Amino acid sequence: MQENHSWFAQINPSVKLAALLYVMLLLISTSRLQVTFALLVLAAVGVCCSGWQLSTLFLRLMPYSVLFLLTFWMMATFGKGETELWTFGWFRITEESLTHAWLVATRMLAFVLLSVTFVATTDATRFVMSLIHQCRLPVRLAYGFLAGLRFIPIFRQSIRTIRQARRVRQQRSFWPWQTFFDISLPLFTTSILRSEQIAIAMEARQFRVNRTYYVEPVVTRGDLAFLLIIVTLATSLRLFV
Amino acid sequence: MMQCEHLTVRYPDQDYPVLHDLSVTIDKGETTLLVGPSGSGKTTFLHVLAGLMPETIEADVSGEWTTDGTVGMLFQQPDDQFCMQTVGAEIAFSLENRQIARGEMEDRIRIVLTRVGLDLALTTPIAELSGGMKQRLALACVLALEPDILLLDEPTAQLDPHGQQLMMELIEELHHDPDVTLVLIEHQLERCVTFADRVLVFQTGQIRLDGPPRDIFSEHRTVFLTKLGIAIPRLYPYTLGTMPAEVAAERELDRPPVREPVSTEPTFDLVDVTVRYGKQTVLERISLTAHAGEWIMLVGRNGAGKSTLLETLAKLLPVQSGTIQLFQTDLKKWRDRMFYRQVGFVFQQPEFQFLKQTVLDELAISCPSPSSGQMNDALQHYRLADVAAQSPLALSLGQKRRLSVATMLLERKAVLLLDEPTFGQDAETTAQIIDVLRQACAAGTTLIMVTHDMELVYQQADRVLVLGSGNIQFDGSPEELFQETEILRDNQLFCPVSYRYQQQKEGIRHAGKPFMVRSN
Amino acid sequence: MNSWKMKEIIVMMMLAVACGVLYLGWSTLWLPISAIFGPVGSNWMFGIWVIASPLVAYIIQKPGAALIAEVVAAAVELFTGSHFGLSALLIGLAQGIGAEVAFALFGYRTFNTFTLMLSGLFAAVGSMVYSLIVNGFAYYTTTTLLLTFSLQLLSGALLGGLLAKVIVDALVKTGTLNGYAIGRQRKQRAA
Repeated sequence: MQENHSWFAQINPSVKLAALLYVMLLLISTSRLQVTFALLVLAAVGVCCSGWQLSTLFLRLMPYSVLFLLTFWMMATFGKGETELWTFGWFRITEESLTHAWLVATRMLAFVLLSVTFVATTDATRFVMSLIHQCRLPVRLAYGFLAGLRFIPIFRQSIRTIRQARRVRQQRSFWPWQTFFDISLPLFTTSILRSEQIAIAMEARQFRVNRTYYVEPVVTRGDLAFLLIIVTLATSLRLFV
Repeated sequence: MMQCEHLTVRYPDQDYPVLHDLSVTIDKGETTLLVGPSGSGKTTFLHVLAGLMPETIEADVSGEWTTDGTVGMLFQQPDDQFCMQTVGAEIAFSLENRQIARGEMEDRIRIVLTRVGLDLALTTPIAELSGGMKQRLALACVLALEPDILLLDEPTAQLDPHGQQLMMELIEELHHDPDVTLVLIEHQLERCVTFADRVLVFQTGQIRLDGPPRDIFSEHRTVFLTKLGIAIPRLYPYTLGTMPAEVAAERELDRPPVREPVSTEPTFDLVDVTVRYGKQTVLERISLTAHAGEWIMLVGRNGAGKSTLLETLAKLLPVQSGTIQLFQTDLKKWRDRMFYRQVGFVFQQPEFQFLKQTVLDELAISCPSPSSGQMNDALQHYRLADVAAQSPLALSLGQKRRLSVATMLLERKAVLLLDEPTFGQDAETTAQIIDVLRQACAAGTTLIMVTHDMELVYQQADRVLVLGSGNIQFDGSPEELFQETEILRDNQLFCPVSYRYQQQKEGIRHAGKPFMVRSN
Repeated sequence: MNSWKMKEIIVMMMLAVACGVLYLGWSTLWLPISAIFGPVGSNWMFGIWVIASPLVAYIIQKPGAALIAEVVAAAVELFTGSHFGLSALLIGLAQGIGAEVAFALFGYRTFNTFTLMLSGLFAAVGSMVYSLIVNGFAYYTTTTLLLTFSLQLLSGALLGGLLAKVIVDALVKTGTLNGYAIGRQRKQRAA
């Protein structure tokens, strides 16, 4: 997650998250395709305001069309219904399942667009700091979480090395969970040892809960106005479409 | 000032105390160097002084200790001292802890960054820095605490030579600051003894010797210190020009053994190999032939593509263009099963290559038909007999390294690829590993090894390759490389001390001057 | 949160993040399988996605560990910039609450094979409730639904709970967990 220079990036991360989660709740609360579609349009407008170039956006979202089709396919072929349209092997498409497939896949797509809006416009550190100040996230948890976050790329590299080593030593497991065990054991061992070092280093730097903050997000009037607009707009779409 | 009286520390899962009845006083402004074998209690002593015991690190502590002023501590692993994403936020973390007002932070951050010689934007992600830069950033974070007492726990052990040099310069600068009391553990004694005011020699939790470096490293103590496993600084108290020949021989400044010519039978054969990582070209048109029984060392800056070359040779990365052959057969035509019986790979982090739950099983799956006699020999040879039933992940650093080398050498390989196998290891383990690698080499295995240790290159390599910006910039013997000052400088490489000593000796002999013995 | 040591917080976070990174890999394995075999044929794999809770709770043995671990592991998806980030976070929350309930029922005093498997099972229940409400699982045919759910429950208990037990027990043998609740528990039993 990294913020860009769009207008969305200016909004307080917690407020932004609350607004987006509210829209997600509304999406969950309805089973009407029209309403879902209207909220999808709202989410799409949000994405367009998130500072992406349309061409990049298109490329980034391409894989999700596959997922859209997948979700659609699963619900259409495995969903319940009476009016049979097509069968093949264990796949069975009915009129009802097709309707539900539209609903669930559209909802999923709207979720994806809302996520894009958030992820593309929010800086990880600022988000966590905002959780401390606006949502009372305990300070030690927040900084511990940030410390762990640094290790995402490091762990990815570790897993890559472990897999290479297994290849060199020609070690293969038939069951996938055996592979999971073999990879996770060295990964977890090193992360436990390193955790200990990090905790010591943080406390040696006099880490304490009473502190000042380099990044201290506040809630402005603009943020509240944003929240109000989104809530009103989404609620009216939910109620009146 | 710091003072300890009858300090005894015992860790909960150990029978014997790690520090035993220790009493010492360290004065303000003094620079103290701690030496001693691993496990002698040096790090624990620093942890106590840093105020980390018994709250942060659980231990039974008795006795008294006092420290006047703020204490800051720098640790060994650059990567394990951070908790934020960017350079600015990381230094700010120290300032936040001291409750410095936000308005003041940015100026203070820039001041400490300048002090450690880092010219970086505050938004630079820490992940983009090299190991040496990370360690200097970690020092900046400690300096942001404005400590009166600075504790340094092997701050250069995990850095490449270039990073080590910059770090040592910073430490020496801090030593000259009269307000800072320095206590450091450091294995690179060479440089430290030139400025340390005092040396404490630790053994089994006690201070055995205490005095200025001149006394501690005086010649009549050489035997005692060597027995403790403490490396004698190789030049002290002499300089390169004044070292007597007989002392030089004892301190391994001698010329490496004459290299035997290696066979002309090729193992790996590379022609115009190009490797890309995404859009970035890491290796460009590399051509190279390795021979049986040849020990090739790869040197170069961080990110020069050394590890990529090893991974490519190990058939772990795809080649974009060019051909790689092993025994005249293209790599693509080798079946994995056959290929990896010929080619082994020792990874930089040994724990990532272990597959089994005990050391014995780990060794057993490394040979085609393990017999119990062979297993016992291996356990003895690699000095792992005591830990045969333990999990490989529970071993010490040195044991892990020996096991990882053992698993690759139990079955004879045509080629062994090694990614910095001696990095961060103590002198003893390094010597053992070099020894088994020498034997493998003599038996005809080609060794291709990435290293930063130029002394090792000088003493052991048949051939050295300098890799820089994706190309082979040099290919020849170590002695030839050491004459190429430009290549050395461009790739942040240094001539090892023993080579420079040889040069000096030659020069003096040619000038017809006798050797001078002078202590300074 | 005050009874937590800093190293317990960090180890929880690091293991949860490591689990999160492993989840990402497991997802790439799951996608093609689920397309072909549908919800029934792919849900035996489900349990891995809830392993963070029993794993971390078994090591730390404190209230909240199971919930936080699963949410953090799910958050990895958000913080790697995945476009499923927000939904992942919600599913993680549902699973974490389920897993936490199992330990709460026993007053956070019992951490054995049974409670760990129960925690994996309850995490599956949490996940199902989410799927019913959000992913429209109620629209699946009754057979599909029942088969999916029983597979998830089984997988949650085995690949979540039991595998977590096996992994942590192997970790204890390496000696790295001596300073945590699980390590101390072992030592007391040995003494």
